[in-house]
Amino acid sequence: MTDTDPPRSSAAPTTDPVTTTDPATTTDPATTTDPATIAGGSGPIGSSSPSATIDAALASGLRRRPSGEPPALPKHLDRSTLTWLGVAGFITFAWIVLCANTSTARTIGIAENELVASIASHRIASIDDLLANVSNLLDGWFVPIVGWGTIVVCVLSKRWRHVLVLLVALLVTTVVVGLSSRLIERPRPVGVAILGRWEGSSMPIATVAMAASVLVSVYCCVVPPGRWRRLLAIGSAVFLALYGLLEVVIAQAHPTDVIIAVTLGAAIPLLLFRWFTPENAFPIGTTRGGNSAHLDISGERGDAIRAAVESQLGVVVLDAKPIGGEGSAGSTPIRLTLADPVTGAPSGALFAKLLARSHLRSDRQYKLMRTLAYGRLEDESKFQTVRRLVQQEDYLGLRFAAAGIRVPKTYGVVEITPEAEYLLVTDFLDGYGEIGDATLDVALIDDALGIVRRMWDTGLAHRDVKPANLMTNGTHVAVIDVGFSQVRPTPWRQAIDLANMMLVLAVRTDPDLVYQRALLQFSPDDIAEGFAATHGITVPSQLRQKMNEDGRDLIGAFTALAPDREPISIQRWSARRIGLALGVLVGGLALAFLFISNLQAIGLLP
Amino acid sequence: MKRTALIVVAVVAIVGFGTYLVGLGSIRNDRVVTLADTKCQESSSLVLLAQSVPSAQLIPCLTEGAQGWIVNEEDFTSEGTTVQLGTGDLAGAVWTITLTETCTPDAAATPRSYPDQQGRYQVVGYDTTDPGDRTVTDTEWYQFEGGCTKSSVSIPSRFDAQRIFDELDTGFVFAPRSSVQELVADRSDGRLTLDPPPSTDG
Repeated sequence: MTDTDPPRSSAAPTTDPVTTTDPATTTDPATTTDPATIAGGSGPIGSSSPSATIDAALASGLRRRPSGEPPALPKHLDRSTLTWLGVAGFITFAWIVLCANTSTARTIGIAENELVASIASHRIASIDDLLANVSNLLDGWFVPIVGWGTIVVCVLSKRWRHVLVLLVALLVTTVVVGLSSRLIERPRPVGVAILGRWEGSSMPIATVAMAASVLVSVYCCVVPPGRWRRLLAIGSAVFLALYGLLEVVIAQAHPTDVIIAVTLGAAIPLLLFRWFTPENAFPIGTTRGGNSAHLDISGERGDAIRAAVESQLGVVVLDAKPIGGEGSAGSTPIRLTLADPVTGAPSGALFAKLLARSHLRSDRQYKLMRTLAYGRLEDESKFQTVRRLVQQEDYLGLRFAAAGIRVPKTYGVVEITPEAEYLLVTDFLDGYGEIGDATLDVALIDDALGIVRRMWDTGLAHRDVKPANLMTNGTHVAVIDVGFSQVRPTPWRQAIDLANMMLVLAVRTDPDLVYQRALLQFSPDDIAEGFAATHGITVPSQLRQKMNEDGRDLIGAFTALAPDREPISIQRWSARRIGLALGVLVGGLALAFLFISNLQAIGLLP
Repeated sequence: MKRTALIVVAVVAIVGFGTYLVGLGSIRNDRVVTLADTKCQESSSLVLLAQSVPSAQLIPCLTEGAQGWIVNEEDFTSEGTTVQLGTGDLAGAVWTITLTETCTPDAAATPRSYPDQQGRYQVVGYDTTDPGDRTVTDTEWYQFEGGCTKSSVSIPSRFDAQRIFDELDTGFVFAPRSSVQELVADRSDGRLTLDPPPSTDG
């Protein structure tokens, strides 16, 4: 569908509801050369704002991506994965061709059995026991030690998805190897003394296949790309070659048993990890502090972001850097430094939120957990596509601006990978800081409470009022991160927005002052309703943390100030919630049972 | 182009691997042959059985008399082999055969004899009835040079267990190790042997 979209230039800036409805901005005293454009507020648009550049570019018309031209970041498996899968496919294909003919298969089988016998005839009797013991040790302990080690590292790094894929990969490898082994039922090499303990038929040799499988898991789960990963790959190849050679020398396997085992053992987990935990979506690098919601925007994705913004917004991006941290759990926030169209020097910045499938999954998991814990308290419908998620956030940004609420001006959505990754681009709030770090006076308190008043009046709820989402330049308060917002919310949800805003302000000031200022815009019953509805889950975790650090019982203080009101229950019981809870419980237990009962089969128990 | 290439690779790999498995399965070339005057079904598992206990001079083998029983689980190891069979005709029936180098028959077992015994093995066994499981079990230990086989057949008591035990007497035989050796030689045009050549040391 994207291929047939009209060119961006057709969406001329004059139709932008933000600028037409309320095109005002604030002039940031801290950054007079690059004021942030605030939609919905008041004040002139700065002459050097990226807004003017983007508007001019859009007005002049931009090149549309024609049908058939790849997007900025096409979805594909990386080259090393394709290479390895190609090699695996070739080996399998060659083996099919050779074995499809019975006489060829027999000839190969006899030849390699004779090779094994010949190698075995050169064994030095005095080290037979040593070879057997080394093989027994590797067969019994290599997979459990390396496998559990990998799982522990993943758990400590909170890479739960990697743990799940690892277990599934080991299970699938076990099933495929076991099925192949049983179908082929190839005897161990005959006519030669087999040393050490063995189990099952020899094609493919299961112990080597599982060793290859866990080594690929280490490669994909533990070691980030770079020199160490390359060394690991070389080391693993050498180890598997030696392990395979040992199995041949002690006559437990034919050479092709080892080759097919390594091929299957490596290809299955590699494919699963690359498919379900692609490096660029689930990075395992250690440089960024480990926020799992944040995608790696270096390399290929960084280039794609710059190219996409340039082609779709008409501005040149000098640099794209990740920003923010703890407060941005559902997306990857980025600062885009722009180039002056004439001189090419740095000139202004844009804020971009990268939304991808990983964020969609986080949204689903979050809503599922909320439904389990509280029932369908409010709209817990999950987004089906990334496109809809980003459209929703973009629309709400425009809706807030149209309602006269200060939000960064949105420039719309930039496509990175169709249906998989999109950027939501807005103005960068230079000179603004988190309200949790600011000194608040009465005017700022009134301004912040005015945001809630405006939301109430226009039928909106932000649903995530916390310090990280309220920015101030010392004069005004702007609200960001409106993607979680709702149009025509329940009264309960609106009341919660008020309570959370009052708590945010009280953390930095005094509950009595905040209560008195709130009475200028809200009735005592409104405030009482807000705190009657306030429970653990209704307070965002960042705000809860700030309140804990503060130490004062702010909720108690506001409750005491407001008129008495019965607490509003936030538990919603329904057949759906009970069924869902039972389903998750049964599914979880079944999954746990599946893995625990197969721990020995998949090699995680010696 | 890359997507097309990937799809082609994936299809070739999946179809190819399936064909590969089926192809390799077919080259096992199982057939019914006469081994040691019994109709013993020749298969690769006979070789694996023999390899699992290199000293065993007799290898347990199924004949057409065991028709209807299918292998549910096989566990070949360097310490011996366990094969578990079941049959759709007798729901709940389980037949477990193990081959090990040595074994210790239950003290309650009494000697038995079979037509193919001919002094090649000693057999003891006994029947038990488990009222809890509602099964009748016939357990036998066959001891021979270099090995021992335990055969245990459990039949739900709603069936005529004794008749089934009698039928299975003809479905379960022993092939001499030399027969399996001939099988290996036959499959390799005489180039391979089952066991390594005798050591010339000392």
